[in-house]
Amino acid sequence: MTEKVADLLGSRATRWRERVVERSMGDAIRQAIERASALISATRELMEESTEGVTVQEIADRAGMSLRLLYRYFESKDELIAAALEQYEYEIAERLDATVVAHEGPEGLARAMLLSLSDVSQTSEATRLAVHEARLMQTNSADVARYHAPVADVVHRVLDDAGADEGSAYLVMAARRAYSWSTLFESNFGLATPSQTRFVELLMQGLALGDGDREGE
Amino acid sequence: MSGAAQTDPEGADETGNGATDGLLASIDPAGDAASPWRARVVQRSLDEAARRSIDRSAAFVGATIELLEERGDSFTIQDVCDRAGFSMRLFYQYFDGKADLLSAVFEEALLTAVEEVRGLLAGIDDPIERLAGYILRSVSITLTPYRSALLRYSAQLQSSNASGFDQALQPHVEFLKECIDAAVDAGALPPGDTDERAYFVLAVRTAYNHSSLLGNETSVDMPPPEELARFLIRALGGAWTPTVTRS
Repeated sequence: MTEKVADLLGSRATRWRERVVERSMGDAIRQAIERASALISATRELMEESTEGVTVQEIADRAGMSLRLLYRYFESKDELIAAALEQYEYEIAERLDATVVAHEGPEGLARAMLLSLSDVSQTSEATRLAVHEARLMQTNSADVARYHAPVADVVHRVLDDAGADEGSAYLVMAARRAYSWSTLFESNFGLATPSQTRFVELLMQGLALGDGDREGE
Repeated sequence: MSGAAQTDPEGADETGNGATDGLLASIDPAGDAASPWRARVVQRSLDEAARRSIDRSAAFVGATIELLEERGDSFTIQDVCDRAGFSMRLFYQYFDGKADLLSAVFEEALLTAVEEVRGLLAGIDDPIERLAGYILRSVSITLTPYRSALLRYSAQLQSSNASGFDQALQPHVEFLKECIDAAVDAGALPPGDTDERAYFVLAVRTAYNHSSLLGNETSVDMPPPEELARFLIRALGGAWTPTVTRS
């Protein structure tokens, strides 16, 4: 039971009351999660399908809700897109986690994780989320950091196990963003974007992991 | 920089200007050798027009840099015109609007930054030290309203106008490729694809710059610039240790 509910019940917290409130609140919470998830899914679908800007009305229509109901859960379209970005990153973290359990040895694991991390699918959704990310970074990088946290946690854990230096997790996260922006925005400074395998080799060598020549370590 | 607008036109060199040759040929298609004075007069006025155009746009860019330094990007085009001492009408002869002006400033700033690094590294011959020097110099900068505005603009430009962004970074690309090729020639780096390597260094360096100036967006702690340099040089197959370690 949440603290807020316990506060409300106060001294009258007899057991049947607790039970009743918990049951009805549970429904409300479940409903809120279901509706918000439906709205986020609708946003992501529309970002993938439509070439033009997506409106809140379209998002509400797709999720089968009224605009009024949408605004009960999200303050603005920006907030919806931010939630979509957060969800997207969370799914990547889950995928990373699943990848790393299937590999042997800390270094093999690190390599598998880096490969999965640099697997940038050039979809309309991913590009639009990256545009939003670029915009958010200009004003509120703390929010962006929160969205990246699940991925960063996996990266940090795996690199730590592989014995990489402190600070390696940041370098990988920075390289990952640069690489995905290059792919999604088609911006490579007029040079050649390395293939995924080459990119991972450069990272492994930079982190002094893998078979690359390690200078007398 | 606005002083450049008052450059004496008489100081012009007399040689033909490559950029105006085509124009001149269309005005005087016969290339009338019988009346060289005519060609000379036209050429002179064209050179002058070209120079005036360069000087005036430089005055606008100079005024914008001053404003960015003073108050970040919260200024209007009218402010720029007032500072440069030119009319709005003239402004729109040279620039499309604020975004166009900012992109000119961005290009100018990146070029200046590379020239500065080149100057600072002039006495350093060791190619790996030059590479490290470039990386350290280009990320170890303090945040001023000017830089913060440019950095914000840089993130926006890369996501909205990739070719403009890539174009503006060319001075950095050239310098980096020089450093990498020199290091390979000296045997300090194994042979490899220069373009791919320059891409890697520039990409990660740019991301590092974004994090340090706009706020760390990764949720994990940033290492000091020396660690970045060590990582990047090691990624290219070289070795570098900072001579002075930070505490």
